[in-house]
Amino acid sequence: MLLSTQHKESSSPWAQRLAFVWLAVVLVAALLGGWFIDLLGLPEASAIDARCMGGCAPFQSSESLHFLGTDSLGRDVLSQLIGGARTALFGGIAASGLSFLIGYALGSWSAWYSKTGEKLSWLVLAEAGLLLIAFGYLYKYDNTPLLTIIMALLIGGAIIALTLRYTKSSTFGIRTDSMLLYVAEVFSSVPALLLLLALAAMAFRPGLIQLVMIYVFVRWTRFAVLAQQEVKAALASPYIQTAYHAGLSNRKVLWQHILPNTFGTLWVQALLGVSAFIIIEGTFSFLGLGLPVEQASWGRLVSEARSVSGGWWLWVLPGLVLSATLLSLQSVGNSFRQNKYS
Amino acid sequence: MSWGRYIVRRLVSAFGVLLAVVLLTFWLSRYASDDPVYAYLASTDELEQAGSSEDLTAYRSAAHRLGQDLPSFFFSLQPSHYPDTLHLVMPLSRKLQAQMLLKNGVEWSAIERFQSALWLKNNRYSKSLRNVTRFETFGKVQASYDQDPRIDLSATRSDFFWPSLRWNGFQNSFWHFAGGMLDGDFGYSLQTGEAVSTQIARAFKTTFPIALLALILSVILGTWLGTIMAKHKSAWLKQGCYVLLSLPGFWIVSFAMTQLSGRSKPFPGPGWILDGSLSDWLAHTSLPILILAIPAAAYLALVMDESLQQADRIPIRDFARLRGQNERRVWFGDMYRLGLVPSVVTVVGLLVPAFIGGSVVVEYVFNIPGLGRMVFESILARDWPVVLGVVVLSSFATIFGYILLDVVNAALDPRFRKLTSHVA
Repeated sequence: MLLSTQHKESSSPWAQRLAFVWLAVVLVAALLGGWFIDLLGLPEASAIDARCMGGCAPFQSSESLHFLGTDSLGRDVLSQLIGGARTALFGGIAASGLSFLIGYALGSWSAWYSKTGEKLSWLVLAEAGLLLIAFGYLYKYDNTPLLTIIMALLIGGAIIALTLRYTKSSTFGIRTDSMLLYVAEVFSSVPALLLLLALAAMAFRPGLIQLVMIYVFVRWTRFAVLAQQEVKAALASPYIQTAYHAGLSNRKVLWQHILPNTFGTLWVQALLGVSAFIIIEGTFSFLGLGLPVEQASWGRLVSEARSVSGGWWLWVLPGLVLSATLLSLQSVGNSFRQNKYS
Repeated sequence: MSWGRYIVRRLVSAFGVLLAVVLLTFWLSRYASDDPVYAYLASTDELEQAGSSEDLTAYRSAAHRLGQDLPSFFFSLQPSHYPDTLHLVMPLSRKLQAQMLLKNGVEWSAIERFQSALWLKNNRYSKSLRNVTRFETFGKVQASYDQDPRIDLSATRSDFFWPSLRWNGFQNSFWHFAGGMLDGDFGYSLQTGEAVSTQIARAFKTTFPIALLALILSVILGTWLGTIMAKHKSAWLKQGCYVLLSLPGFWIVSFAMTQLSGRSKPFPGPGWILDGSLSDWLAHTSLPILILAIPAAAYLALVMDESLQQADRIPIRDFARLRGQNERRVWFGDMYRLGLVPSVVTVVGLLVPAFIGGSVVVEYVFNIPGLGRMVFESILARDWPVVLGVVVLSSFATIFGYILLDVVNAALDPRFRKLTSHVA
């Protein structure tokens, strides 16, 4: 169920406007949710209403009125929905944005570096490997790390930069684009949910930040491969040739033509990455592996439907909110893509 | 490059990828486990006997069986004041304490004296031993030393920082782990003490028919829907498929579970007590199969629609009609051949790993003792041998599935004999 979906179809302008409005609502709930909760006099998302143990239906009379009912522990559904917007959106933006940045940087670099068939010398790779081992060593065995690590980073970086400078057109090496594809193949050959679950269970204390880090670790390769493809396609296109013939320098071609032109398609993918994070976070919370109980999550609300018998309000509304957000993200992504190519 | 050489190259690179996966998983499991020997002992009831005696005979023999009394890799890089035989220090918590003291610059002889004086006195071989020193600090250890001034913990060495490289040979944990895998031996479950391969085989027998039926159903349904979509250019059907695909799987599962299954509802409630008959099995698995198959069918239909429309742009359809073939022949003979090959074969290849992943949620909710549920429970119980076994086996299946996909595609359609990569 973690299939990637790529729409190329247009949806009607009304649906797209609705999607924008809904995303704005979710964003406002995420940003100003705490203030709304205070204003409306709602109970806190993690506050437990002892009278509603086992779940109250919407508007069922209790100490405080629960507009959308409570879950099995007596926590207000509406406040949890508002709190869950924060978790989903902020976590999603952080996770997708970070993996987008890493993937975009490495992917475009790999395509750019090997654009004329140049290879990265094995020497550079060996140096990088040694540097990695040195860091591992310092991390594991040294008790006064910070200054040493900074020194090692500076020295190692300088050595690698020098080697890069003087071994550029080496035949004794590997193409950076195929190197990236190898790395991506390792990551894509393990079923994603399995890897994510294993990593989440390994995390010392699974929280939002850990979840984001795990997501980035697993997903950055997708963005990297996409970025590589885009930059390669841009490099092969006539306008780049024209730019070179017009006498533009390498640097100008990269910064003024290739990166701006590839960014448009890729950030739409980052938008879809947000929805992927929301699904993953929800799945984890649903399985009880996700965030700590204090952190509101849409996935946990849905999973609560199984512990409250007849609790329709627990799966209808959170599910609708979740699905509406995912659909809106897709639709908004599509609209941007259409604008680019139409 | 010829086609045969391409296959050979793919196989070689697949081996490299697989090696990287094994290395990655091994390294991760080393970081993440509690004391695996302890867990193994607890699972096999040897702990009761071991707990009564203060020597570590049972622990040592179990550690030997699991390959835990070996250095972790082919070579080790350690500060020169570390002893060569640190991997023989047992149990794990004692080793971790020794490592922590060594990191603080304490001499090995002092640590040995300290641990033999204080270890058995303070830490009996009991359940509490598991996490004693995982996160213990130097100050805490020193506080316990303060009552016993015979041992000098603060003696530090000046050459503490310099590393020394040592070759361990083939007697190491990684080789024990990876070499065992080549023989089909994935180690022993820390929960049940059973061989991992037996456990995986049993769970696979439950999952396989469900996944297979779901796959067949989704292919039939997806092809049908995709054809309707392409023939009639139905925008509503298309939007419906998009919506269906965007719904999170766990929500569909939750809906189906609470609204559709149980007493006086179309499907029986979750549970896996079967009477062995086919009808009973079908009654229990039909809902999970539907849940797995319907989104996959929607996905397949969308892909199918797109490639059929692409096929439509080639004039082959008009040409077939001009030749006087009837509509059925046109669809089955030409359009499907052009539309099915690229989409269906590829999507089926992608669906197999997706079913492994998706089955975690479905099997968890419906209590089906299959592969997904087993992995999930092993992850919760930190039963790493089982998790690693499934991860390695499924990546193995995925990698060779991709290669098979290439071969099948190339056999069906000459356009695929270009050299492509399946990443992304």
